[in-house]
Amino acid sequence: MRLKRAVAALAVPAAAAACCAGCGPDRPAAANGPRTPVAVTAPPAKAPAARPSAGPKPLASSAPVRLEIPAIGVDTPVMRLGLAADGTVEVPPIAAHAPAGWYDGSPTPGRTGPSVILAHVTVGRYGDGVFLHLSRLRPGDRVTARLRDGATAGFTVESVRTVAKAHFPTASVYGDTARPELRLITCGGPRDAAGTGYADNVVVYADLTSTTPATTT
Amino acid sequence: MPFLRKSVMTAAALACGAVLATAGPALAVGSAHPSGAPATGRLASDSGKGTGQPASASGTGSGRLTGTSGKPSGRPTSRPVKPTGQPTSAPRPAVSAVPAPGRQVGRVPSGAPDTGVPPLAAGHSGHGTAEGSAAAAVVLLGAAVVVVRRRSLRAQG
Repeated sequence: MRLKRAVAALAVPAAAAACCAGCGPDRPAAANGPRTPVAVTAPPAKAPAARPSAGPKPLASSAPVRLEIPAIGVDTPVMRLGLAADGTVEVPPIAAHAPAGWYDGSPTPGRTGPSVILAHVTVGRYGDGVFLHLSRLRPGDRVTARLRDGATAGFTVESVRTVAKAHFPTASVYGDTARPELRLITCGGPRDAAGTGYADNVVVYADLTSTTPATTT
Repeated sequence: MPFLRKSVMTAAALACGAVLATAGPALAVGSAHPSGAPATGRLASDSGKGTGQPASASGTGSGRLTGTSGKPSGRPTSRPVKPTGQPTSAPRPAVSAVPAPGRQVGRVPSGAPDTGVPPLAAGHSGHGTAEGSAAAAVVLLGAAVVVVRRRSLRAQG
């Protein structure tokens, strides 16, 4: 009888402990993952056709130091990114408050060509990334890049595309353009088979629509 | 008396078993992942070295830091990282970055950027260990209650 009572007394906390172990944040968290982009479009077959330059005058070359996207609540510093040894583009660190990064092999924002800025959608145990809601952008939304020299380059979103990583549209992202444009890139879609990354990329294409001059020389 | 002793030992054995069963996996999960500790680094600047190692953390814009989804901070952040640390199933094209003189993008990166690590694949978060410890504490508390009650009953009887 006493033994039964002892076992019963142990069973209650053990059951509680088992419940605790199963309710942590490491459980599969589909609800916490990035929102699946609404529109999934096929990657463009080729780079967008060069359009006549009808926008504002291109800015002088100056690295971006800050990026603002009011529609999705982004206001982040911008770091510089280069190429990794394997030829892939570097990405911002997997860290809390990781900023966006500008690929320094691309034109600076406001220069003619595709300026490329990347940021994480999620940063693992650190939670949400700067571009968590990038796929929510819609044509017409505004993006502002603040440059080192004090100038600002204002862009308007042209399109938002979700593309499979296996078919990343290199030509349309990095190909030449007739005027200053911006590419914002993050990950999206479902998790990959290994569960350690995402199967897709979200790419935002934006055109330069306004500028303010530099404040420093 | 022998029964009581045996019973207490049984309770202790059960408690130890429960502790191992609950805390063990959590600790194992916690140690199985890389730490992912970021290195220090700097933000983009216009110093123009082209090395991928920016030189200033201050920025020249308004300098304000508002609450955003990304919770950016004005303090220096980490160095950029190679995306190879987050393997994906998506095969990378065999094309490597090549210089393209005269083009707007001097060196076109190969493949797709790995700009996201799912929360589940984040590695050791510390939460698993905390949960295991809490569970172990609950079990030990239960065992202690049993022992104390038995002793009090024995003292009364």
